[in-house]
Amino acid sequence: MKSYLPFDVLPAWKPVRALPMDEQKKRLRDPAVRRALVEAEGKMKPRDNVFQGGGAATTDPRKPDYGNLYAMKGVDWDDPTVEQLAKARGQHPVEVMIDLSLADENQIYVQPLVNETPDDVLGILKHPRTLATFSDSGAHVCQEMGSSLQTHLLSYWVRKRGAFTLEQAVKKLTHDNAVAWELEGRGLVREGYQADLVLFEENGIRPSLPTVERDLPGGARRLVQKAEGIKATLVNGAIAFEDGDATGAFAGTVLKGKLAS
Amino acid sequence: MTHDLVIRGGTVVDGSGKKRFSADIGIKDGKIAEIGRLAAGSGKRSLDADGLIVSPGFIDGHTHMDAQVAWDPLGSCSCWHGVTSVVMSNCGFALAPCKPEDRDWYARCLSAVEDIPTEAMAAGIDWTWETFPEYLATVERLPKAINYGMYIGHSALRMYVMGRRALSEAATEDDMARMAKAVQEALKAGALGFSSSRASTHVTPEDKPVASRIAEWEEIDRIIAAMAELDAGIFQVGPDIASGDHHRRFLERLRKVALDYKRPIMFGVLATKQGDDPTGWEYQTRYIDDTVAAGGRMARARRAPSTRSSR
Repeated sequence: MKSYLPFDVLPAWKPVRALPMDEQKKRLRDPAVRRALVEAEGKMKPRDNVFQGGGAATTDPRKPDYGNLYAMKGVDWDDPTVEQLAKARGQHPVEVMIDLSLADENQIYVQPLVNETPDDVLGILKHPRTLATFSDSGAHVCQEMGSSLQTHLLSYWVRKRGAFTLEQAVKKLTHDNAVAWELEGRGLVREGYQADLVLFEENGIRPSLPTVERDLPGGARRLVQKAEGIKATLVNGAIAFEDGDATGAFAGTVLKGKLAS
Repeated sequence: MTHDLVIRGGTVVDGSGKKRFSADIGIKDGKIAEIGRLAAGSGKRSLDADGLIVSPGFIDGHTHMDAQVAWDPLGSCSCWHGVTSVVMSNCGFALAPCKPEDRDWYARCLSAVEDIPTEAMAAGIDWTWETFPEYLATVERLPKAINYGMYIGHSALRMYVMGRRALSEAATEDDMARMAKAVQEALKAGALGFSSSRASTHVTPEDKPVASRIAEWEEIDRIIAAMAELDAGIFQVGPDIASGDHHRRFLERLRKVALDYKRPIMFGVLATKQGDDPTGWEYQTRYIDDTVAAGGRMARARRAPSTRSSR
């Protein structure tokens, strides 16, 4: 609700969504307004075979696939779809989304674009020539939080699913990627290697749920997702983060290819 | 030896995939100096890791921090998840090289494709660079809590060399020669490689294909050949997953690049049930296996070098 909903560009939705949060909530509780908003959804472009990226999905949205739209309550990939909730509550999916958003203005809805199911992801992760990477961090700042892929691998795939040992998963996040991107002297705990290290609780590391913040330059909004269970992160020997807080150490560097390093 | 810092009593998961072990880690001058049982008082400072796992910092090879690095010294949100190194400028989207008159356009393209708010870029970026080496030097000077690697991005490079022609025309012989030269200069300045995109989802603010998608494959061949000449550089490319047929044709043409020039290639294994006749992930991993068997280089896990530690 604090970020955006797929209905925001619809003429009936626009004026409501432009209101201050308190006003929006009042309107969203008004039965007449709700009827109009639900009805407007019926006029959305139907889903088609065009594969849409994150950009187009906000400016030219299709009717959501409610069977592939998850209402996030946790980070364990067991959230209900909006379709399931609509059936259980006997409500229209749009009403479900309005009610969940009213109950929690940080409610996040996730519609996977690619690699939609855990089985697909596991198959890809298990292949010896794939890399566990691609957070897309810095992009799609209002839409998704791939930034948590590392803590998710350790909490979900290692702890909850037992798909990898901790040792295997750490190798995927460190040495495998260092080799692939030819980052000499990183990705292992070895004498002579750069002291890029992370100290974490094996049974406690996990992503937190994202929240919506207006902390970009100029007050622009984005999703912010932190993690639990990380005691400290060291970069080039300096403690950059401790107990989740930045320490003010800026020891990061530019990773250069072999012709320059 | 007096270490700057000693991490005491942790359980080390060292990144090699081998079994964990208990050890202290002594750090000096930014590097791991000693692994083992270190005497009390051997460090100026110590960090208690009792009951904790100590592992290498995580590395993320696909990010778009190019704009954010200008205003966010932390590297959020990756930095909150144990990440110590990221690679940015993926899929051809970069802020360099860029002519001053095109800055607004680059920002709008980043906004259209990657949903980075233009107002944040307008308020948060002090454009002090034009060329790729100048951008790299700028990032080098910025305060950074984590490490950043970068590619020279195709859409940026094409706009820089061809101007608005980049959005509609094939490159001339002269354009291609200039692009190849700029890529070689970028590698010498420290670029990790060259990134591009053929993805149908990558469009300009006017809903037209981004510059890299206008390029003929011949242009990509020329650029990758320039990297091969220096025996350096990774080729990262966003796949065309507009349909199963598009996807498979993309992969087949990419195979030719892999086999002709032998540079390492990175692309996202993107399976989807959307779109027309989508390509499953099994097809893509089989494709990687086949290409590697034929002599191409695609990402792979490798055994870690054996330990030299004193434990």
